[in-house]
Amino acid sequence: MTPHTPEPTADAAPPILTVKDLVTTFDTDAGRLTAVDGVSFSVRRGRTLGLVGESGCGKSVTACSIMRLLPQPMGRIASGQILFDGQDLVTAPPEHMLKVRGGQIGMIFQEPMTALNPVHTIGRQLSEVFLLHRTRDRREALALSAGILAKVGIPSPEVRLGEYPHQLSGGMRQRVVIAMALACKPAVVIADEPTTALDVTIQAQILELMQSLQREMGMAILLITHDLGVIAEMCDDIVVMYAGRIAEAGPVEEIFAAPRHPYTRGLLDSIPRLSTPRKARLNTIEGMVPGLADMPTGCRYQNRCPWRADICASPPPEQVIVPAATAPGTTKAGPRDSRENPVAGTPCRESRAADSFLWPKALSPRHQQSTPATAGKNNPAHHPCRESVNGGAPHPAAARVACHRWQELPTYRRPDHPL
Amino acid sequence: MQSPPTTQQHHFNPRSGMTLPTTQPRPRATHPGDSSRSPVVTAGNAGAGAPSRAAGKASGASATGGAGATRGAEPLLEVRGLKMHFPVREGLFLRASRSNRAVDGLDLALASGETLGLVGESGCGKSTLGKCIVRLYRPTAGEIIFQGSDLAHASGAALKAQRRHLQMIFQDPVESLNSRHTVGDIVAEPLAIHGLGDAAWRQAKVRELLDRVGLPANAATRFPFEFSGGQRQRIGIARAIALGPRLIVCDEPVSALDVSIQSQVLNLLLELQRDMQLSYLFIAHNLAVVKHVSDRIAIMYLGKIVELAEADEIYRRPRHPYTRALISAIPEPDPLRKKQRIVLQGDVPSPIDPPSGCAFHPRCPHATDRCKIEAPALRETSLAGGAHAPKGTRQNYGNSEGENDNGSSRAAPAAPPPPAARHQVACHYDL
Repeated sequence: MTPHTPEPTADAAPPILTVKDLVTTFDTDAGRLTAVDGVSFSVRRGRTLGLVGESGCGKSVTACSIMRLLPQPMGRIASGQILFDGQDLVTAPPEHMLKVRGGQIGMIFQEPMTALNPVHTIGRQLSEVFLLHRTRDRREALALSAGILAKVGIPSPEVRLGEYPHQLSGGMRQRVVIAMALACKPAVVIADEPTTALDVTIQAQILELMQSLQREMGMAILLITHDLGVIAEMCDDIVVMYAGRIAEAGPVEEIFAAPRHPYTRGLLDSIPRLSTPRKARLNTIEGMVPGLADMPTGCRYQNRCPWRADICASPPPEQVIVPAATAPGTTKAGPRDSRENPVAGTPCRESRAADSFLWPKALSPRHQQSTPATAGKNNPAHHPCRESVNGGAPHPAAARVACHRWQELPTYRRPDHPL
Repeated sequence: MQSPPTTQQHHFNPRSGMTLPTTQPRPRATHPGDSSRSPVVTAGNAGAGAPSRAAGKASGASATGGAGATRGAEPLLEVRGLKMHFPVREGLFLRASRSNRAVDGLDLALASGETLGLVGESGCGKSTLGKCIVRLYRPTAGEIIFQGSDLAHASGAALKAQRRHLQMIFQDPVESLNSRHTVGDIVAEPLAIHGLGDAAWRQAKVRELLDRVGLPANAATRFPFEFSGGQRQRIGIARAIALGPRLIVCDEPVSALDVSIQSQVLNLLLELQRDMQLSYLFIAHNLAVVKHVSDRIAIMYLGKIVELAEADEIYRRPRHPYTRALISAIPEPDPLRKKQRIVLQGDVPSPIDPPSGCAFHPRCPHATDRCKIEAPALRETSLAGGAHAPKGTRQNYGNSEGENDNGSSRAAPAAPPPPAARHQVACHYDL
């Protein structure tokens, strides 16, 4: 799809949906607010990409931008591209979007109760999808609906077609919503917090269902959630968003094993795990996400970041492609990375060897050595990864981080680490 | 600190740096002997015959911040055979022909300073149980013994007096705060209801409470909508601790919050428990959260407890098939650990028409014919810690947090085995 895509490595699948430098704004009484600010990522064919972050960090706005379902007239996509199957959805005419929505990109909503219309039967709501995209025959649409209901594991689908949403349990309703999203065998499914409203046992059922349907139908999933556990179980790649920007992105094993952004670390550290000692003090991220109207300049995480330095107040950090840490010496992104990342590659491991006793001091001599590199990072013209993020497509699986000081952070150690 | 009880008596806790109203300020306390006792020492120590311990705790706990909890010989709260049936009105004349057995014969005990986690799927009756305990519902049958008096049948002044020691934190921090009241009014309301202090004192008290839960002092004059979810939950917590309660029922206190905020609130709850010797009944469906805060955990299914054990024990050796499925269903934030999930089929059955025999049998992978007919009772498992106490000694639950060294003076050589070793399960089989 893109000429710059490097040779695919063993696990690389080509991107089906690519979001490039997406900027979404809202016009409010307080002026124009930027909810999503320069977000880029790719969802790979047949894979699952997790979009994670706290509420108010722009996850759902990103999803609505892709579907062009932003609240009108306040919300608009100010710039950027959303490439789906080679076509830019940002500039696509509304008629085309009618075909895309439900037909080629399905959407699963968080609240199965609000996503379904309470005054129409399941059959009527479900067959609407088929009537829009597949057939004009009501009977056939109903038969197709019964088929898809059976597929999502609803017993006696013919009976359920005549029932109303309130007659179903929460898990059943979510299955119906999934059935609607998958009705036309879309290439991409956007699942916006699909299991947040459900119990763990029902959540396990739904996740299992989504995985088996993905294996069967080969669709790509963009999974939006704030539950890192769900991300770990479901996703191949992950994008961590903070305050409308990407903090860190990459393959899920990589991000969980070696998170480089302080925000990702904070998130991972603050969840109580089954293995954390009982009643121990949990690590927290102090404060909360700043409001859209009073975003700090520079790094948006600086007010909450334990590693904040003066540099964080100045220009916002660029995204840097980082070498894989899980298997030292090899980079998942292939040859492109080693060519492009003299900056990011070597000092990273050095600083990790220097380790934790260094970081409280503002800048040690070692870090000053790397200042030319950091200076280069702030200069778009010189930055090696700049064009790879904005111009061409970065390798879909490459890990990247947007933090001025990522090289200075100590090696990540899980809070429940045995040592 | 040991000042004679008056209606305006405050206990200064140096650790938390705040003055709390004492737990038993009024001479018209409901059970005998209260008025003569020092406030902090009240419940749980009456029968132990350990005056030295009582005194030691009164000073020691407030001096050290009281990492541990009171080890009462009597539980702070004991629920016996609790039933809460809601009539289902249907048909032409809305006759209540059937009933929703939300809580159906449930026993549990909670020691002073202990946290009992209550876990189950939605619709299993855990919130109903919580609301029964604070008497927002009047139970159909059973007893709720709190500090020695039965709440289930209490009413009027007696109930109000007990409610001072019994507060609740609600799940939804938006709906549980009156949006037309300022935060100051909301937090001061319990004080006003119980007629504590004058307006100026209450104002100072509100400031203390807000500070205690980590809110700025100017929050008092603002309205709930001006705060984020986590801050609103802090307001709810400030309101709950305003009267210096002994037991707080936390009904899904962090379910609506983001992970980073969730850990802040959990830390606050744990801190408050240490500083104020609170007991929690912690209701949640997130098992990792419950395990983190709880000493013991009860697993509920369709209005009954199916398993009850010390928190680590229940995770290490779950005995009930339902508990096993619940634990296996938790998504672990570790992509490398792909574990075998036990995916339960179907939903929780309706409590209006529960299945015969063991309520779990339609979803149980191990169900036999016996399970369809015979309902299993909650029994001790034989393997838990070797010694197993007969039923009836249930009131001797203590705090399983073993590091509390004040407990070394634990009296009663005839005491049954420590509750940490007890593991109860309602299943016919030892799986």
